[in-house]
Amino acid sequence: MEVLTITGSSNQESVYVDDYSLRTRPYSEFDAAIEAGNAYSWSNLTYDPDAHDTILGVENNSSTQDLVIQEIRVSGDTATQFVVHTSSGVTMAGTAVTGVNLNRNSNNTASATAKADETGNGQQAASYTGRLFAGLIAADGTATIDVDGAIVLPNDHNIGVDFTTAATAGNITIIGYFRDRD
Amino acid sequence: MPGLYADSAMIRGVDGAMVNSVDNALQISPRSRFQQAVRTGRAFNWSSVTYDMEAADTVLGLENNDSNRLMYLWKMWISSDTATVVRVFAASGITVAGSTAVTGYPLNRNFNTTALSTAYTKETGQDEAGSSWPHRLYMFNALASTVHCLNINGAVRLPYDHMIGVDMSANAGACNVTVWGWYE
Repeated sequence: MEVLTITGSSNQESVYVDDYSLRTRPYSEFDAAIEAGNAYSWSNLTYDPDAHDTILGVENNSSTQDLVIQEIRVSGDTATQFVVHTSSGVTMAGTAVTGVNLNRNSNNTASATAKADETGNGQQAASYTGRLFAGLIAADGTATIDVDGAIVLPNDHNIGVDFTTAATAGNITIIGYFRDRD
Repeated sequence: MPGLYADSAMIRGVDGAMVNSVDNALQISPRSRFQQAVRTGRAFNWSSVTYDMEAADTVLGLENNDSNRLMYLWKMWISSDTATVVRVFAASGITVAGSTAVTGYPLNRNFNTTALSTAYTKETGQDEAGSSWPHRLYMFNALASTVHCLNINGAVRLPYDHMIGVDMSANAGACNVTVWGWYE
């Protein structure tokens, strides 16, 4: 019987077999993006939102890469409905939010425009025609939406999260990464 | 070929890239069927319009209208501002109707297609409740103002003319159902 030894290209390490199974190491697209310094967190500074404020909006400004959304966290001090929406061709306005690189070994900066209390989009006036998700949270409750890369934003497309009820403190965190467009 | 064999190998993709091994393990990058569907514009979202519901309403009904492909459900998120019993059920051969049509839009915004589906908020075409939900898939009690996620991962598949619906037992001031799924 011939034995075929598989080695990887990185360290020329031979791949082991454990319990008659090939040892593998899952390495997701998100893992790869973090490793490459292409994954970011956008989190608004807590503020006192009015009803129907877009608490946080993030727009992709890369002409070559898509912005892929991995996770959204929503919380407020007041029970409210929240709407996650998308639109395009918007001039983003509000309080600037800088994307923080998840890989602190990387000095890459996000090719994105993010704003707290974002006022450029017209989703509320349009009855949220770009609605991706809607839900309800209790006062001081947190909703975590595990998007797992399902929302893909091309250049000039944005994602926003609105609260329909006024609150004293609102917080949104969006985790995402950039990948080359197919 | 006789006399020729390999005793070691490295794996190379068609793009020329070599596969890594780390900690003596072959590095793999699994891509789920859903993730592949997102890539190719076959994954969609359907999200009900928030409304003031009556007890036992079908908050969202969603039917597959694609005669060539199954509709796979990936996740459902359900919430209400009132504690309630949630009943997720299937039905078929009905005329889906309701108060507000819901269009399925692609999750990958590089695509401009819409889903081959009929979906309504406050769906009224089926009468599963009248038969005590004989095709019930999930039944659970939901806290008020809490988002409940069903990780379906493609386990529920709807052929052409089959639908899924979500009933809530309690009268509520606001409720939401969002479904993400794909065609294959």
